[in-house]
Amino acid sequence: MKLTHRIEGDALILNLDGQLTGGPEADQLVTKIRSAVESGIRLVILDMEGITWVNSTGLGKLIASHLSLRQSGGALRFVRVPRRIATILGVTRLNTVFEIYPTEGDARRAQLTGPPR
Amino acid sequence: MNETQTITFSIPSRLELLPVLDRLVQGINAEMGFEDEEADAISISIIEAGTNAIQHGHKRDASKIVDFRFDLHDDRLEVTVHDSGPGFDIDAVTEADPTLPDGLLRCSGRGIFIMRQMMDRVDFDFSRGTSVRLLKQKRTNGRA
Repeated sequence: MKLTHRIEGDALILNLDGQLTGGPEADQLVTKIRSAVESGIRLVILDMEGITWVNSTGLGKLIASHLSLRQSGGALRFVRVPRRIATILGVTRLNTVFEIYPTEGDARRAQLTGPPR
Repeated sequence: MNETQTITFSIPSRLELLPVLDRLVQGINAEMGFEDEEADAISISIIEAGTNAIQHGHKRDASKIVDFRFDLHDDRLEVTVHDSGPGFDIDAVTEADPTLPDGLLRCSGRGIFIMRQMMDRVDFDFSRGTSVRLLKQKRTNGRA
């Protein structure tokens, strides 16, 4: 998986490209998010358009990142989620945990009120 | 396709190699003419089976090999994924529903649930290592 990032204001925007398998690339993602939280970032947006699939181990890494941000009063938001990823999130009901928006603009405009759970 | 065709494939136990498996499965799905939704379900499930074998069966020991066998029938795809691990308590895994409120935020324990949701049949055999057998029936009996 290729991971690129940029910071805009109080938000970290991460572009993911490839597969999230739970291997070293997923650890890199978790580390990046934890570092951002420690430096005061409260909103992390994952642009998933380039992700072809996520396995259950990768889902676990995303949940760990979600919990890390939630504990700091922030939020992890997904944008441009491909069909295959949306299918996995639906089957596991993680679409009721993660905040999912159509676009980066939508994710940025939403208030930091915290996820439903 | 009038007779069963069998394809075998083996990889070292490294999660980073799962994309190679995914490309093979996509090719098999296309060969069998599965529709998009069915093809996604098959790919996702086989990747989960491979993930379990690497992660739990072999503890990511790259010296251990995971074997995949694909039996392409006219009306169905049967896949067997084998690792040399000791197996596990299938009843305990099945009872832990990760979609219930207590389980939603768990960071692991979704692999078998995902396979069972997406395939028509999922069976386990712990007699020689761990084998999981996945079956997907074609909705229509014809090639794309």
